[in-house]
Amino acid sequence: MLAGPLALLLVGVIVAVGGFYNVAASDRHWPVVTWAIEFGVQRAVSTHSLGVEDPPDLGDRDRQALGARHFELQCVSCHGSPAAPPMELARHMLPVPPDLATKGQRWSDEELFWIVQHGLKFTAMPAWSTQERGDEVWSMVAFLRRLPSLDAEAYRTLSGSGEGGSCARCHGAENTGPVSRFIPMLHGQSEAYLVRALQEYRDGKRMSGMMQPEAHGLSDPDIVRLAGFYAGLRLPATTVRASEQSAGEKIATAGIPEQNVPACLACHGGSTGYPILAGQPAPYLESQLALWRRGVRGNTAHGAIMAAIGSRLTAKQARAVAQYFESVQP
Amino acid sequence: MKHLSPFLLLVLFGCGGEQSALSPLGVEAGEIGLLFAVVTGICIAVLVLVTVLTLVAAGPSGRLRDALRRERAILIGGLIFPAVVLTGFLVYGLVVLQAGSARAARSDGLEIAITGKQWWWRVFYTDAEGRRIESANELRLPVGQRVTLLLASDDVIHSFWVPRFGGKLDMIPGRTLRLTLEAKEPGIGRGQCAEYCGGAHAFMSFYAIAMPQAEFDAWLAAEAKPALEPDDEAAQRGKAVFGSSGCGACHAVRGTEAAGKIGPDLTHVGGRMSLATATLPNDAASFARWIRDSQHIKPENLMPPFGQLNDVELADLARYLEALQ
Repeated sequence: MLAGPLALLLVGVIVAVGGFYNVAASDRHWPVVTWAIEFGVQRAVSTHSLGVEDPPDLGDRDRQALGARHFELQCVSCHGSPAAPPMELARHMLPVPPDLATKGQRWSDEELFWIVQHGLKFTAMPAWSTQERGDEVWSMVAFLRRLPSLDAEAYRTLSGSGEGGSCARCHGAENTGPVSRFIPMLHGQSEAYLVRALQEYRDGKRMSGMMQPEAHGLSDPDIVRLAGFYAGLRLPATTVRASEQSAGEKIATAGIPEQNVPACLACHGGSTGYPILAGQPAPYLESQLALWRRGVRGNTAHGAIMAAIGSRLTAKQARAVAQYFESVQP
Repeated sequence: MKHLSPFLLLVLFGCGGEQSALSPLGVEAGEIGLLFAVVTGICIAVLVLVTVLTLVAAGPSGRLRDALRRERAILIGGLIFPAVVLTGFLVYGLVVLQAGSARAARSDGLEIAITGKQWWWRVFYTDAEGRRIESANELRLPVGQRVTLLLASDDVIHSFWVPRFGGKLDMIPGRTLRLTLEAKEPGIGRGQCAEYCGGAHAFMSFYAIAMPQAEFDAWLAAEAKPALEPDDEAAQRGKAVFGSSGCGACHAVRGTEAAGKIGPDLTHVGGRMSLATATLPNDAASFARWIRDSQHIKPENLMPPFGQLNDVELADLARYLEALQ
């Protein structure tokens, strides 16, 4: 009666300890194992992505541009792009990183979000550098949805492939501003603030799956040099958007005393070590204010100041004040 | 029995002090104290009487015990005597209460507006010329003058209470309630918010200082002036730190650019008896501690922590604030 299970156990032990199953990446799985893994992954991703929040507007061009730039910097080497195949090594991985323009499209928006945010065990697909920046992950999903419609030329334009300098590719340089309204304007920003921001990204104190990999490995002299470069740049001529200035202007100049919110300009007016807000794109400011509201940016000394104040603004007030600052010339 | 004396000592020490209703400094507190003494005295007498009568009733027969059994004893002792005593208490209590509101109608004109906020006190004095002078977290009164306090609240219900000067009166959003206080002699009373108003309610205290009239007038004149200019280097550096750290966004220092209305007025903060609503002494070390670490001293208070200032900047800033006498 016990002989059956015991025999099975013995066989299992022999197979496991004996190491008979070939784990080489150079050799495929047995078809049944491949099927089981793919089925299991599909089901697991489907279930675990049930809790993912509703996507924002994935058709937003700024979101797609931000995703495209990051894709070109970090994802192309394994997944390839319309303009270039993946690196040679990627073909020898198991599982092979899928072509996202075709096989990647079978996932739903929420499932794509989950995979990009969490990565996949036993593959080379990494998790997002921080779990706190769902907004960044959505911009990747927005780009992935646009990807099938891009040919090589369109892709190169959107992602800036071939343009030099990893900072300038997103933030612009002497003659251009940021390529997306989700990316902050660094031109003419307070140098002390830029140094602090890069150090915080490098040391993992400020969360961003896009900035942390870029800041990683920067030495302090590098950071000072980069900060000095951008602090010294003049703002390129940008189109100033007229928007609902009245509500946002009121908050920026007079605060909201009933909600214990001081006037933004009293600290961010430019004469302090706090970052200059004038001229910053509204979607970027809004997303940062959303981080304050969620308590994500409160773990540094400066962050703790805004964490107390930023959490007192509602989402609507944050939008109004962000639109005001975008419309102001610094 | 000999182990009782430490407890008696404890009781004695617990009975007095700057926040004690049993050490009145003001006329109202005196009347409340008298009411308390009279009622307590009579109640003790009644307790003794009832105890004695109970013992008599439980004891062996005698003339008194027989007298107690009769209906007349119940009528007098159980109906008429309590009715008379309690009616007396009621009338006396109403007289004390009435005296308060009637007194308000006869006040001498000095009005101090106090607004309860979470978790501090905004105070407005009106001087002889009718100018409103803003201060915070401390109350100064002239001796011998009936002062009307206009109590209000900006957010939730607070309650104003300085036991040495008078009773409690709630500060209710949307209403202005009048409390009249008259100090009999100079002295210091400690006050407390007496209605739960959120996390830091227990730390929402203040000092009320009664001063002779001449001293009060001089103090008010000084308080009306704009902030003193910093005279030593550290204080001047501190003033620069104040400006570049955004302190003026929430705090006002009259005579400078700082004109924030969200936090306490700091124009003469160095001259107050305490900081952080009577939770810290008024010295440079306390300023520095508060600025860097206020959430650990008074959790949930609305001031953000300024941990980015280094020790030198904090010391300079503290020196500047200390010098704002």
